[in-house]
Amino acid sequence: MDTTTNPRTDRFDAATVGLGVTVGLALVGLLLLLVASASGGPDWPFGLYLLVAAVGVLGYLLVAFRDHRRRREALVAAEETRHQIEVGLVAALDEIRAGDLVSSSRKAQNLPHVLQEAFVAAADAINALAQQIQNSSIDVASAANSVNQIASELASGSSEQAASVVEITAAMEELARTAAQIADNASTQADLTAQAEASGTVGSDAVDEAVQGVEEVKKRISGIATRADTLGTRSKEIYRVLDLITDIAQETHILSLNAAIEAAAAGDHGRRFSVVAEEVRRLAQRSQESVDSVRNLLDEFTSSIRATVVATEEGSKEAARVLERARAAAAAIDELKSASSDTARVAKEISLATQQQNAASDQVVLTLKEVSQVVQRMADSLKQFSSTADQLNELGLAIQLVAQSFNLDSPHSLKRLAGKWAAEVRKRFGSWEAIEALLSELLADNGFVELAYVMDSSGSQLAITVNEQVAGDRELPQKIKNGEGLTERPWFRGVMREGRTIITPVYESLLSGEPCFTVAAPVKSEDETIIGVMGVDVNVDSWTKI
Amino acid sequence: MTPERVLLLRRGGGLWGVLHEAVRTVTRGRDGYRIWLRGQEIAADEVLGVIEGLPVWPAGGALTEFWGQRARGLAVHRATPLVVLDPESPPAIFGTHGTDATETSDGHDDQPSH
Amino acid sequence: MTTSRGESAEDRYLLIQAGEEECMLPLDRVRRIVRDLQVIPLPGAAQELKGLAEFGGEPLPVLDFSRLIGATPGAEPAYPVTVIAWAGPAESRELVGLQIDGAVEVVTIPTDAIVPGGEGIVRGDVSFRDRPVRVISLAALGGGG
Repeated sequence: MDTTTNPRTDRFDAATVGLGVTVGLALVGLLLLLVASASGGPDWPFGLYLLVAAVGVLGYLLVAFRDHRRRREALVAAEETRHQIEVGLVAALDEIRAGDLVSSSRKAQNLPHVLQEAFVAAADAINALAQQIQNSSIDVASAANSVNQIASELASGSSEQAASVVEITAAMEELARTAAQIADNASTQADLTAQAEASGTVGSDAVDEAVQGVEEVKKRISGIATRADTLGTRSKEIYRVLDLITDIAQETHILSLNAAIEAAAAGDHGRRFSVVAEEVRRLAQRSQESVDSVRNLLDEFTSSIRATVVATEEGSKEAARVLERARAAAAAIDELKSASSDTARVAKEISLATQQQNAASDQVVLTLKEVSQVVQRMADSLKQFSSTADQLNELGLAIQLVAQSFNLDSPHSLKRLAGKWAAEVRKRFGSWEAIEALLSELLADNGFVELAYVMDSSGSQLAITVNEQVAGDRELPQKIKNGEGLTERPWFRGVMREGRTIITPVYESLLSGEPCFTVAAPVKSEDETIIGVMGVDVNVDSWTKI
Repeated sequence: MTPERVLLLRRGGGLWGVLHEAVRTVTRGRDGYRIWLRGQEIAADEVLGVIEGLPVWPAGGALTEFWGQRARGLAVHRATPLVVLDPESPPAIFGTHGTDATETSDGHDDQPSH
Repeated sequence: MTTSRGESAEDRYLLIQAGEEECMLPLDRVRRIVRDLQVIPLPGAAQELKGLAEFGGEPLPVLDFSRLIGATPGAEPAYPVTVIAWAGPAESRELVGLQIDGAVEVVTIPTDAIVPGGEGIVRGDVSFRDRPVRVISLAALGGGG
């Protein structure tokens, strides 16, 4: 509506002129009247004045009437325009109230240019703010999720730490007890080794005496062996002499036999010679017997000597062995004494060290107990922190959901997405196969969607598609498959009632058992009649991770 | 005992004799000596020479019984006893193909006529 | 041959040791008893024939007497000797050497104490000092008697 005319100005112009003329004439008339009166002049000016005044007044009235009619028409038109503007503004503001900043801009197109510009600017500012809030809510939710995870890890870690500290404390207490035991044992050991040292000295002296005695015995045995050797040598010489005598006796024997043979051959002449021969033979025999007797005695003597030599050799060997063992014993005793001294010294050191260790262990145990308390407090704090992080997580989600209550021209705006999907559904409305294919494509492209479904305006389910990755082995409840009770759902009612996209609060999914919410958008025909509702169930965890 | 003219020789480490009258030729070869006797040839390791008038005793029954070889007799040369060969039946040790001079036998061979 | 006392040389014997056994050799056949007689082995000889030796410039075969009579071998003899004796028949007796373990003594036994028996050169047995002793006939040695 063109509102370039300004009736107020026009009114000012015609009325002002008329008024001005009227007043002017009135003043002139008045002045003339005064003059006339004053001068006692003729009355004809007065009548002229009245005539002129009457003419002026009449003209003014005509002009004023025209202006009045024009102004009235303009007023009506302005009223009409105002009403339209009001309706448009209300509609646009209504969209803003509903959070639909996209539709609000569209609704503001019918407003006067200046108003439209101002409204669009305001809507854009709100849009930008809402987008920023949406984006920030995503960051907040992501940060809250990270904080929650870190808090959980820290809580878990601190619990493990606390458990480890308890174990270490127990081990240190055990160590302290063991150290005390070692200290006692070391002290006892020191006493015992001192006794052993004293015994070792006595033993060492005894062994020294024994060694001296054995060496003396060895010398004597050696002397006996030497004399036995000498006797053995003499015996060998006697044997040689006996062998010689034996040989001579044998020769004599043979000679006597040969003499007897010669005597026999000589016959009677050899008889006396044969007697001599026989005497010689007997002499040889006696010699041999004597030699044999001496040999036997010498054999016995030699045997005794040999036995004595063997005995002395054995004795010497045994003495040497005893001497060696005695020396080894002496050396061992010396080593033992030395080792006992070392052991006693070490035992004292151990006793002292373990006493010190004992004190240190007690200190460590105390410290560990304090650490344990600190760790426990830390674990408790972390639990609180974890709880706070959970709250933060929930707050982040709540902020996100609040941000999502706006329909923004943003890829993060679920209402915007739902509106687009609903528009696609509208194109395929009437073909459930096409709608199912569309829903499958939607789920494939948007992993955070658990379930997508479409029903008509009467609440009859036209199509439903499940995200298998989210559902896993779980089956969709039968009543949902059948689309029972959909008209009772708050999101269905909300959509049908308000004709806008609805986002529900978070609830537990019947499909996955995890937190989810529903985004439901109206499917509208070209004349903006709601012909159906499209809904998607969004998995909170999957959605907050994108 | 009969003094004989005897050719002394060595064979298989032992001292032997053969009546010089039975010797035809003596030749020396690569492997020792070859002596051609009446009827056959014998081998010798060494030929020591001819002894004139060497007393030769009969071989005797004991030698014949326990040696089993024919012999002309027994003799002694420089305190060493030796067998004087029967030129017609020398012991196998004198074979020209070489026999072990230290061979011994457990049984008695047939006693030759003496 | 007899002595003036009426003892016959046939009654006198040389008692010898051969292995585990004692034997008697007729003393009139014994020429000499010698020690360390050098014997030169004869190739191809029987085990009884130890070899040849020389005695008084005369050659003689030396026999192992224990093997001759088949005596049980005894311990190693302390003083082995060789008996130089005449073997074979009286008309053609030859000098032989008999290696024995020992020569004991000259003994006299009555001729009728000899119990005839035995083979080869064993003439018979006689009990001498309560033990059996073989009586040898050297005439049968060397293929004679």
